[in-house]
Amino acid sequence: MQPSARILIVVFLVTGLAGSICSEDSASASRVASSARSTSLSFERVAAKIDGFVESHWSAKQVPPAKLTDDATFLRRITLDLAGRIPTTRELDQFRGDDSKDKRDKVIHRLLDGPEFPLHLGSVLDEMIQGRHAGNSDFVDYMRRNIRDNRPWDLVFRELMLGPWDTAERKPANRFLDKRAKTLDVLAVDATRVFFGVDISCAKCHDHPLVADWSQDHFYGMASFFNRTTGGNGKVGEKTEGDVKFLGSDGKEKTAQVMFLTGRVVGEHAVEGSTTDEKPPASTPVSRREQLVEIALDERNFFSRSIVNRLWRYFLGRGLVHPVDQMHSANDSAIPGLLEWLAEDFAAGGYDLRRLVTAMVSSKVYQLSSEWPHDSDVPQASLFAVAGLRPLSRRQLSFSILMATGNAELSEPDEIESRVERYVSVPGVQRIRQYLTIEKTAAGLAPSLDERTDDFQSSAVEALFMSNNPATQALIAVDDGNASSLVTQLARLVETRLLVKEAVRTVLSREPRDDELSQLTDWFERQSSPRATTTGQLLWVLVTSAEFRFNH
Amino acid sequence: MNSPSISTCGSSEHLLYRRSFLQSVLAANATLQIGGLGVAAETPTGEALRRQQKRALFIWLAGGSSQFETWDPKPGRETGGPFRPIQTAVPGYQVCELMPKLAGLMQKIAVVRSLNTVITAHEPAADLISTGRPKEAALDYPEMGVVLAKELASQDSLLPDYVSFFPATEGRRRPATGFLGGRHAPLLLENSMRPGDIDLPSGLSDLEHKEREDLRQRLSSEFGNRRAGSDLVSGYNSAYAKVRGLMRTDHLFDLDREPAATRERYGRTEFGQQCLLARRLLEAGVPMVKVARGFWDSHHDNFESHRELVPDFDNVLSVLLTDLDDRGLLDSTLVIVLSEFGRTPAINKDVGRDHYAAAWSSAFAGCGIQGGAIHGRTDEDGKTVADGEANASDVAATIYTALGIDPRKDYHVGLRPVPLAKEDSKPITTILS
Repeated sequence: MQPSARILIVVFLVTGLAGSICSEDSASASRVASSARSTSLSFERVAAKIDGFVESHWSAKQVPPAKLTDDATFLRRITLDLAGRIPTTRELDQFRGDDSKDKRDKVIHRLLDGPEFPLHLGSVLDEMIQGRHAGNSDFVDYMRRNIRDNRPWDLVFRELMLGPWDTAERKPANRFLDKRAKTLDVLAVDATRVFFGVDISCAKCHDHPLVADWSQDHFYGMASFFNRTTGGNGKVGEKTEGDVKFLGSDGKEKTAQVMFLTGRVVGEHAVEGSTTDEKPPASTPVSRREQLVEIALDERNFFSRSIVNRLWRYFLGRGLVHPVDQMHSANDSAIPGLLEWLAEDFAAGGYDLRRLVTAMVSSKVYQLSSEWPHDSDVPQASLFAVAGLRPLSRRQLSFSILMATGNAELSEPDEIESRVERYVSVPGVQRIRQYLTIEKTAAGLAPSLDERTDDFQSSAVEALFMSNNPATQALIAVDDGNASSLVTQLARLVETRLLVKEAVRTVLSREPRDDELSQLTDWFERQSSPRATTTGQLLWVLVTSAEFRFNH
Repeated sequence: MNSPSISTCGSSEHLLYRRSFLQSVLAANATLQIGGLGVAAETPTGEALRRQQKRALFIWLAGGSSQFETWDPKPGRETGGPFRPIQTAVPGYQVCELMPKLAGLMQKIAVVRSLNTVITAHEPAADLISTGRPKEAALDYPEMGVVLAKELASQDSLLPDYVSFFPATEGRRRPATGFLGGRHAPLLLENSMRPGDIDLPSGLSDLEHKEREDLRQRLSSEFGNRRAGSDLVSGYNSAYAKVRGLMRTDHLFDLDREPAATRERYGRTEFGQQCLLARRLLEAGVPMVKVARGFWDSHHDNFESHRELVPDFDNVLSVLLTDLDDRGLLDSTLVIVLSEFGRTPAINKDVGRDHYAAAWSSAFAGCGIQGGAIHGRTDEDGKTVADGEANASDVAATIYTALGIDPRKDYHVGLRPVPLAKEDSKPITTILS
């Protein structure tokens, strides 16, 4: 390319993007999803709708559901899911002390409105979107702001794909493209998996051997939306020309059509090799990524179902379509009609993530017990008739270990802090600071813990780490210099039953059962070690128990 | 899981050595341990199973060793370099003079001289060779050692399935578990010859350590009753059940238990001592071990660096093969020598050789291998493969076949069947016994 031509194209791109995106979306950039709420169903109605779908499926399959889970388990579950940690004993007592009928709804709203939900869900979405590139603090903070400000999912998607990445706040949004731009396959495949719930990689070398929906034309069609994208050095751009060519399975070279998963083909509207400085007509899409965003949001089923299905997996342990990147005609959704309805409602309601999350966790199906009370065999997971155990993520587990062993401070603001928060108009600023402090310490433990995957299996590495590593043993060690440490405080309780009770409450976030209390008290008193040492051992037993390791 | 056949591997000596080895382990443990799980709980059935056990040892020459200065010398050619060839125990086959000991052992070793693996950048080439496949955007393949460990491990073993050493040099790649997941991660020996987290925490007695684990186990099992996902609970508990067994393997990692003469024979190099430790682990029943040896990336002074590296390699590999053979373990242990690629025929201005994947060599010995078999040939300058071309997938298929594992066996990733070795791969039958 001639140097002069390159300069022209840069100018052309900048003006093109500025013209087409900023002007159109300057209003929607500040759009907050809740504005759509007035015209859409309330979250209660959506939750009831979810339960309606699920219950009729149970009837059809003649499966009785498990009971609703008890209050303490619910509190632990919802706190882990929305705040990424176990509840404090104070939260446990508050919840126990609340006699109102809608106490669960109150907790849901307390958590959703609190400062921890955006911090936690932002990280969850970071991992969902970035996969192996997750954990960049700029991108995490960007996602956290999106959740805090309740920005609609379509807007976030648009920003990830198109920018503008012009301010310090929006700059990190180019990271999805930037980290993948050097390899077209990776970029096209990841984008299609993450945002549309489809893994097209098997259709690269030949039409998909198992799924009739996906042909090579789909693979290279999706790749064509990205082949002009440049990046990898922190700056993402897009060329105005270049097509994808590939060898068909018949051995002939073909030029790919720019084609979405639905088979819809996009024409070439861009001005070829622009040698004029005339601005193209405003309606002319100049960016293939922009064409992708338009077509995906116009079609909207793949886009909305993918995120709804992924959040469903997050809250209920597996996708309605499972695995979550296998949405195609041969892989039916577990509950007929539910994913389709929920996704349509989500899209029609303005892609409001908060409303979607509220509806999911308010549903009865989310609040089922993981204990199976019936004589029949435990039903298969895809029926959602009983809550499956969900392994805590590294993040949830490391956070919770620190809290359960008294190595994390999560206190309510005192008088001064409350005044500070009112003065700077940032409620929860102390909690945010404490949360980020715990996050930093937890990051030191996380790499040795097992990652949560669809086919989770425990490893000896985590077991060895928890059993013998000096860093984990220090968490339960008797620290003579620290009178306020949890071990020291508990060991000071003269009555062993009380000590055991407090330990169970702190670690397992529930009151101990009578038989359990006796069993643990007997065990405690049989030990010949010093009282404080045995207290540390008891904490270890509870923290490494299966009940703690899973969200149940 | 595949059950290995007895015919290729297992011999009477093997039996004898295993028994005496186990006895010494038992004796050592009797003084150390009080009850519980462990080798002491070994049943005759377990013993019989383990006698048939197959094992594999990867020797990874990180950076890319030169085929000219090892298995495929080109004397008298411009590309050949200064070293002379020497005759081996296999009639008509010569190797570089830097490998006199291996030359004498060639009846035990098979060589493939005709690899063409195309990729010449370290990372992607290492991925290719160690997974046996080109990279795919949406599917992370496990390293072959991870697959072998999974296939060869016996379920009731208290030993790790895979131990991977890597020195602080170019061999710094951790074996990827890919779609098999973290549970199959190898035990890594990174900066130490002992694994981490196998020592009793300080300030805790063995009894206290055991008592708390017993209680943990009991509470967790109760929790799993009538629970959706109770298999997750039992998996979790069995991971913890491995802990005290692994702690009891600490003697395996203690080279002071080897006679001084043996330690000397292997040589007091890091590579030598790691290979000795590898032998101890293989002998005890660890099915998969990987030892990486760095510094082969000889862009400068190729001949000087190979003059240093190859004799150590020659010594260690020949001592190791002899030692395994003496102990009756060679028949059941596949030893694989691989790099990410070979080195250029052309000698560059720095008297170095650069990366070259179009024609290079690797070596195999032991389980399922026809010792003395020399497969394929390069042209007279070593620039191209003249006969018997094989690629990375073929090498993978060869390795699986040698160990009695069907290379076409499928794993299922979601709905997709994934054969162990790539669909179009062909085992190199010339070197298989």
